[in-house]
Amino acid sequence: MTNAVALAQGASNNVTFRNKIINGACVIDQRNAGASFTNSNAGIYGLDRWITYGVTSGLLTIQRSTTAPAGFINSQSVTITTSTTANDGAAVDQYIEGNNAYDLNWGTSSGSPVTVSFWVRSSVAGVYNYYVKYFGSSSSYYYITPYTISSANTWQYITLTISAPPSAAGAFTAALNTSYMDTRFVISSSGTTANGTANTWSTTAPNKIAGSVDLASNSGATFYITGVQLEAGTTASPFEYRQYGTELALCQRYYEKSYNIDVALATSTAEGLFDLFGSTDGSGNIVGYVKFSVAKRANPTMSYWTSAGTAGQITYARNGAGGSGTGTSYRLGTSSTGFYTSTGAAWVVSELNGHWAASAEL
Amino acid sequence: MYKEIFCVYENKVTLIMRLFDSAQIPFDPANTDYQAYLRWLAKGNQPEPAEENQ
Repeated sequence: MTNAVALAQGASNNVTFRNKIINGACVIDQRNAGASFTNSNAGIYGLDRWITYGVTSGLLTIQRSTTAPAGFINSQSVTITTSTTANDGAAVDQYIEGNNAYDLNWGTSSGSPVTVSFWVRSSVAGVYNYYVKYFGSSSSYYYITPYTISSANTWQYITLTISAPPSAAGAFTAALNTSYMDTRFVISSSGTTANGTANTWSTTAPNKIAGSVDLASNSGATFYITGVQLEAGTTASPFEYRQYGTELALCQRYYEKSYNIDVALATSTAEGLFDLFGSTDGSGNIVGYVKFSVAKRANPTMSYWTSAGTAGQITYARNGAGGSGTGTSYRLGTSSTGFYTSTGAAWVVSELNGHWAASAEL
Repeated sequence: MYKEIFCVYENKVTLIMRLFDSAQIPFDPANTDYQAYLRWLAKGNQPEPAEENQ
């Protein structure tokens, strides 16, 4: 028995799939295929399963990076685009679904502690914060804990153990396909007064612990994470390398697209295009259907593009006319969707094609 | 900003379009885009009405 297996069994009895973080190695990037993007103040999903928040839109540039420690090929990089000292809260989060975390029994007397481990690197050394929010049935509880990056621009391995929240939080009784916990790398929170108390569960949402680095005050500063693992127990086991196809399927429960995996959305390409031939109906609509590779967490938000990359449209061609029209979903479910567009002529042979993406993120 | 989408096959509004990216959001309480839409509605906003030929 390997050391990893022994540690994992001791921690949670899960030899495999002990890591509750998906895409912890930051390899899968369906939306941007490695291209950089900037944050919005409402939060923006980039690398699969990871969402970046920033109070100020455009504050951060996020990218799948090839800067990585030994044993990894990618990380998630965050660069401060424009420095600010005013209310510059910024964070990278991953929400964990109830279906994948209920075994922790949080909010009960038998709640399990968890240990998070990760590789981190920043251009600014100092104290940073990691944060967990538990969506308890009685109240949401928050836990913030510090860690220290001792040398700038140097990869460092961190492990942090987080106790189970108190029973007062209440057992998780929400639908299991909703968020059980929010895990957060706090990047910056200057312009606000620190209200976090280290290593204590509280019903008050913490922004940071006093004395922590506010990275957004440093234009051009960089922050990288990879090898992120969150598991039951008080011991960090070695990072769980799942097979690529398995990790991709885990991501596709939350996001899937017709484009090839490393082709960005809205790219002009025929590869992966749905393309069907048939007749319009009596209303002049032509109808298509997509079966998702992986059933979604919830009925997904659908997006469509023409093969040339025009958003919201799908392309049709029929005898005497062609063009593009709004692609409208119908009978949308977790496993499939229909869609249609109007061609302007009833009962004529037509072709319909386009690209799609389905999002059911937490 | 949002706009209702009328489904000719179900003869009712079945989706909400998020106008900045043309994404179509289902009325599923577990869909977080729908939850964001509900928060937007709670602030007193109203979506653009659907066009019935959609």
